[in-house]
Amino acid sequence: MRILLMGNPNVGKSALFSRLTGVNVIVSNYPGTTVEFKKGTMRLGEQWVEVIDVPGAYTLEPTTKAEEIAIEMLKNGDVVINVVDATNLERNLYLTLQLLERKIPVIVALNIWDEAKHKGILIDVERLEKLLNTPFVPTVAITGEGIKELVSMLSRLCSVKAQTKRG
Amino acid sequence: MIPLSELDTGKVAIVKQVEGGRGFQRRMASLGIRVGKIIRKITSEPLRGPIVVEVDGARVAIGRGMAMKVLVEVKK
Amino acid sequence: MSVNDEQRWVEIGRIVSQVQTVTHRHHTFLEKIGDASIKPLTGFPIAIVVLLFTFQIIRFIGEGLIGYVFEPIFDIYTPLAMKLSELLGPGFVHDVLIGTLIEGEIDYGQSMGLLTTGLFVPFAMVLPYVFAFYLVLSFLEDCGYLPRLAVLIDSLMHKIGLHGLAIVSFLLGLGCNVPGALSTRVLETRRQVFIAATLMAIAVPCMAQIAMIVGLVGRYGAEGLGIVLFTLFMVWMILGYLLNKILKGESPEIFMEIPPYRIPYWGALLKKLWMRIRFFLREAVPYVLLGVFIVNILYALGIIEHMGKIAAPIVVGLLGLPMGAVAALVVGFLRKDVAIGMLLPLGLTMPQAIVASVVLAMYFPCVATFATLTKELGIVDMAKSTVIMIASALLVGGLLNLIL
Repeated sequence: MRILLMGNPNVGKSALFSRLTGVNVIVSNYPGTTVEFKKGTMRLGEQWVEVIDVPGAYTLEPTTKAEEIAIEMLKNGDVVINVVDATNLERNLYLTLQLLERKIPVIVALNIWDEAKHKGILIDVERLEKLLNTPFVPTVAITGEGIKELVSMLSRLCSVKAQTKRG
Repeated sequence: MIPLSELDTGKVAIVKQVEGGRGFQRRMASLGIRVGKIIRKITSEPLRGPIVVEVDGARVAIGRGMAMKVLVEVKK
Repeated sequence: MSVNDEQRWVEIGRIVSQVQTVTHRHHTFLEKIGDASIKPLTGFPIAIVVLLFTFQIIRFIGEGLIGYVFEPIFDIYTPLAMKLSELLGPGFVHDVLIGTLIEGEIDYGQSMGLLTTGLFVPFAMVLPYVFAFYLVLSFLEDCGYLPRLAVLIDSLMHKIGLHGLAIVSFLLGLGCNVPGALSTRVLETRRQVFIAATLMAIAVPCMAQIAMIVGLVGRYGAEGLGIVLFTLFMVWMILGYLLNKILKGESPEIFMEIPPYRIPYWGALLKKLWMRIRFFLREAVPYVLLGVFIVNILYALGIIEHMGKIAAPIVVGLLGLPMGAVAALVVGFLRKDVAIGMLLPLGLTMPQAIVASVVLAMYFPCVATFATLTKELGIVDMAKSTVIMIASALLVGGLLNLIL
């Protein structure tokens, strides 16, 4: 099972990656390129799963080398955690929409939730989930808020995925 | 309409047109520079350096040459 | 834009208007400092303060670690090493492991044994500064300062054929040239990578080198150190300017988001710091030991003496250094910190110490950086880069020798 962390640059993807994975993190190059990515593991119930910190991307219609790699990596992932900057929902949702157009389960982490609240930005999470038909979890990667919820959502999605795979 | 590069510091404007190829337009759009967006110029760096604007509360740095291809209308 | 892009943005607009309400939108304090540090009038003074502050913190942490942690550890270790020295008795094995005893005692700076200087240089002289440097750099990275610095000096960087983001590579290179050289990959064009990598190898001394230069030149006060660093900075600017003029092509403009200032998440920061330190230990320590080992072999076989005779016109004539410096220049191909360490016992005058430091920094990268650059640039470009390195090192070294 391979989980991909995807999102725009500077949305706290690395901090979230750090929260989810342990110390054994490997930095490697995507084969044949010079773009680096981080790979780690996390425990989900009974199984260990691979977590990949995919290079930051604004869009899946590539405009940079990092975005090209992100698209390549998407082909080999099982579940995507789309990390979104809650203080800039509009710009971030572009990638979310593109991810949802593909046939891969997506959980959206509405990160930097505290700052959004502080800035007076209110987001109706339930409504958002209904409109986009995918789970959204408010998180604050820096303090760890919402990580538990994210992980339990993830294990639910992964067990469903594993069953459909077997069946 | 004036190019973004000519916009005065502190002024707010609406993006009216993004010139250049589709790839360029797409790159601009991915950081929020697209038609209809309201932007505010924060500063421009000396010696024809980049221009910094605020769009959707985020700060974006744009090279001077690129900023010349973005046409805006100053908001009164 | 294609219809598809347009449709998505329309869809997003519809969604956002349904789910998001913005009650009040006032500028926060962090936002205000954020903007102040990119506006040129306030940004440049802030940049200078940040750099000076960074420098002070690195010194404070580095010196503190050396004085209160590493030197005490080696004080405990010394009797053990002396015991081993007695057990071994004089001979080749003793020379390799312990080195030469200075007045019957181990001198970690000068003995040149694998278990003395070979351990002391990387752990007690270099590691503390590398640690301090990466700690501060990782903080500046994670709090969001570096993109602002990149935007501020973008036009300056264009004068040397690069763009603002390249400053991040150079800063990384100050820690260790290997990750610095690797990070030049993010630059868009081959031309930029070539310029950045060449400048890095020539004019950006790594922390290991800086720590040792402080030891060598700092003895004569801050002035000598200032001259070394200023010379390297000028070389960086002038050489970059020339390369930009000579090499065909343009440097693409900067286009990026400047993230808001954020308080770093310490877990992620410490993890990154640990990965960088681990990388340094893996890359540097084996080469330091190999360097010390080779010095011993070269001396034992009398090769140094031989090379000294060949290199004398350049080293003594052009650069005004004593014959003993030849060995250091040879070892400098492997590790700069060991090489500078070898200059310590020579009793150089201040001008000699300055010339030696500058030439050692410029003439060739250490072997690890060389291997990395060759992989990144390819053999042909690396050969070009090497010619530039040696020529400019001799030119600048010769000039300094004349002036000082």
